[in-house]
Amino acid sequence: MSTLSREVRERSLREWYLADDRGPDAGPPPRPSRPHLAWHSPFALPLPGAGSVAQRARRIRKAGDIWLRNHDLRFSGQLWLWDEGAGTTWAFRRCREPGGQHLRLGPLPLVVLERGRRLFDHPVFYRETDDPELEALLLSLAPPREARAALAGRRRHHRASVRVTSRVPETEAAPAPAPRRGPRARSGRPPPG
Amino acid sequence: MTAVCVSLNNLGDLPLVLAALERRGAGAPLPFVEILWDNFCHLDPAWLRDFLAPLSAEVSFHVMMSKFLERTGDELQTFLRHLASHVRVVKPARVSDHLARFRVGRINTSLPLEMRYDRGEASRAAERVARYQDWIGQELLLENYASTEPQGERQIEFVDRLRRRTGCGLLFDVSSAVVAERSGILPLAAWLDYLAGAGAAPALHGHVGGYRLSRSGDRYHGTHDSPITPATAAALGRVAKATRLATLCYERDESKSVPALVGDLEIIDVAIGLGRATRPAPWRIAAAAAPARPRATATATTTAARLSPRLSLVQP
Repeated sequence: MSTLSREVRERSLREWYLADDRGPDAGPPPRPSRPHLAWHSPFALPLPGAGSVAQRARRIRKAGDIWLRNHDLRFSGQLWLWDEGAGTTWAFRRCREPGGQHLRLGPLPLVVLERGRRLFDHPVFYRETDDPELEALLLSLAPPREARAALAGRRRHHRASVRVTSRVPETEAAPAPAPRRGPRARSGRPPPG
Repeated sequence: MTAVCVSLNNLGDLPLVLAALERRGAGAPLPFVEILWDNFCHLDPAWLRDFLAPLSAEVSFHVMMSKFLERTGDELQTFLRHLASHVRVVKPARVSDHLARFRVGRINTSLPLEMRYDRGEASRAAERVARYQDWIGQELLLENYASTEPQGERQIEFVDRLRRRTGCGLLFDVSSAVVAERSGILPLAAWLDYLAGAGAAPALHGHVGGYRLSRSGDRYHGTHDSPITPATAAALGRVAKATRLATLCYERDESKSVPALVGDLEIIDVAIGLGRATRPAPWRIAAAAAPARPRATATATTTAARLSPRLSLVQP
């Protein structure tokens, strides 16, 4: 392996696989158990004791960032990730409007989608989708300012069809509600006004 | 005359890119528009076509993360089918991609790595490029890599063979060639000889952007986050003189602002003979000029690279 390959590999282990999270005495990081997408990298190495809620949250945020940068050339507009152990959900939405922005939401109250797939052995599930109803849900969960920024280029009549409400306070220490499953998706927050 | 544009990396950048081009006196419709397709592939192709139409009649798709050399057969098929669905509707004049690796063993790398240019890679690349072109129904342009390792010496030979076997084209990234030269791997003159000789095409399409010396000071990286350097400006002038440079797309991924884009567009215009400088370049030669990074294992260090002074970046 060339020097550059080694450097880039180590950098990737640090930045994408968050290998430092394993602690100073953990030794060299193990090999991932199977080939995987770049955005799955933060979950590809086993964490001692399955990791803490905070460790998983950090990994979910990193996974979402890699997904938004589209290092795997995925074609979907939304990524939903939920941690059933912590009872929290994150949602990421690619920019679809000229002059708009990507949206990163989370932690939100637990939203469990059907057809979710598990990330390695972690209690974390995901779904990539273009479902317009889920997009409307995602936008309704966004803080008004972020939703406005994301939709900056959207024409007025489009924007009017999206209901934006205030945000549930972010706290990872909040008691986890029981996972809810439904035919499509449910948000743990009360229905808007 | 060379048509110059700024890469549209994502939808969010549109106001910034248009403002910079208008300040340069070239608002829409543009001579061409190049999109980083990775950040547009989630959109409906008809929507994309209608969005791009007022910007320019000539569209280029640039693909960064297809990883088409490393995907499994099924994954490659999925990618190519999706890309082809966009190509059919948007009808881009050009589609370009990269010759690079994105994995070390099972580890995904956050930066692209250079190929080894060995025989195994040559036959795999030829098979995959041929498949790529079958799906898109047109020539695929492949961008040169910013070589910093010894195998980069073989890049021109590899690209030439691939072009002969598959009929693919070259997207010539001028700043990547400068990185390779300053790293002591491959002199720009070698590319110019090739592009003016055996590799000459009726129209050459190019890229240009920023690069940096790594923090450790021992390696250059194409970063697209910094101004065009004097070495790149000089190289651009040589490319414009030696080839039929039809289009040139300026790439800026980070530290992006209208003044930064306008400043670099002006440097590009001057370098390729399209305009005159209206203000000093945003860089100057440091008083205590230091040589370019010496490379212990350099095999093709040119006089120009040895004498290139270190740049001192100064805000315009």
